[in-house]
Amino acid sequence: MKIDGNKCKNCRQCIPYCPVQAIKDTPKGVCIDQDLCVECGVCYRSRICKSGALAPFSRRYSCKPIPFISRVTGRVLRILAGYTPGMTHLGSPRRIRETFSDPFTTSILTQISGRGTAEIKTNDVTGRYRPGEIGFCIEVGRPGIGATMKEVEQFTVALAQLGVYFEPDNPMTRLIRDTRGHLQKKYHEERVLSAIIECKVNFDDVGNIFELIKRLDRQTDTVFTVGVISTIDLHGETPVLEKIAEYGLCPSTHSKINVGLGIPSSEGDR
Amino acid sequence: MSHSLHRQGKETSLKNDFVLIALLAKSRSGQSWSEKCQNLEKLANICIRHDPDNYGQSKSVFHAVYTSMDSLEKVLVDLKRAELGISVVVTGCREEIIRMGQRIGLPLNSAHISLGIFGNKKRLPDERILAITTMCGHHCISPFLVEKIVNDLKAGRVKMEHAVERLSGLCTCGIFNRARARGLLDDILSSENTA
Repeated sequence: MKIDGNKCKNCRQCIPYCPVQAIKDTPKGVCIDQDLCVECGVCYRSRICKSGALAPFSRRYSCKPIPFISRVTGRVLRILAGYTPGMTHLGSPRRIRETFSDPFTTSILTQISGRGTAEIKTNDVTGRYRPGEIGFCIEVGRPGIGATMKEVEQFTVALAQLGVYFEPDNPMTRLIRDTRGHLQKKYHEERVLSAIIECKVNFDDVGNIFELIKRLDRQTDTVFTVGVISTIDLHGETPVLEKIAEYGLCPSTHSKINVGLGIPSSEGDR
Repeated sequence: MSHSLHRQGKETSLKNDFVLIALLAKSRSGQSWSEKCQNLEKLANICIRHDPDNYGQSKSVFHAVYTSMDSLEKVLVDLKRAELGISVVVTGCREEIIRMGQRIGLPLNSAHISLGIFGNKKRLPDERILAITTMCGHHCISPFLVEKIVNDLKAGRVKMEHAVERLSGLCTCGIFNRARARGLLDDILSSENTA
């Protein structure tokens, strides 16, 4: 994102909209710190700038406001600055900022929209996670602090050492360049709102991941969230909860539950 | 992604916060893509009939927020009866959802359990602000904007309904719980008035 100095009226209204404080009030006027900006598009979509000074680098955006209308009720849900969901037009390596920060972007790496995958959302159909397998979604930079890809690499390298299976459809996995979990160097300095590392291990190996989480908790300068994925057995139990407690971690009472209303794939996707 | 997981806040404010997400899967399940899209429309109609606090949709996803377990249960009973074959996930209190699912005969499949936030938590905003910003899982709601809105509310420059709409409009998925946001903003205002 950039600010067109010729159009900007220095009203400063856009400053609080930036989730990562990249919009700065300087003696020369309001400007965007390009190192901090994660290309999330929040300032632009908010339509707070009435003079049209906020100018996205990506050509996905246009200046015309577009009503976001429910196809069911016809009700206007919200008015967004004009955008076309789809591929980014930013150049490499900066384009990955948009991939991991703007929910409207389709990843050029996976052709999937958003910064993650369906994870358990369609597990009743795809069988991505099966009994005996435990999934992990480690989101580096969340909530709202952001991270550089160099910081994310700390996690991918540590996970690779434990021999996890990285989810191939996840855009983060596509940035890993070798079996040791290193990322392509050109991305190291790129800053994103959050990057989700999705992986799975066998149930017997979860302890290693829990120990790793505790180590990274002490070592990293940014924040990260951890989600643990498990199938639910016929008694409504998720055995991984006992393991979580065994390693001194504290699960939230809140969870996301796939309630099993999808039709299982006849041939299996995996 | 896991955008409805990791909502922060006290149990008392989270207990009436349920997010329903329906997502079409690209699979060989016997339904064509256009059939699946038609079924998603039917699903959205059922969900909207039960008066969600907020909702949003795109080509292959539908999101809705409910503020009571009772409403959520009614929606899921109707969705089970409709047999649309679309995957549905619900975020909320794990034990309550599992108990309810067993009671109404849902073939519960899997759980995504939040272990919370780790790392340098000193960098996070005040937990009362975080409870609001984490209701947009893509983090499109800036903590600095919430602070500004709190100040605007205190000064009478904005009404509560407009404040909530302004925040809600930034969450493009429609999983922002407006009723909960109202309560959280009220709590911030009343605690600052008594301080």
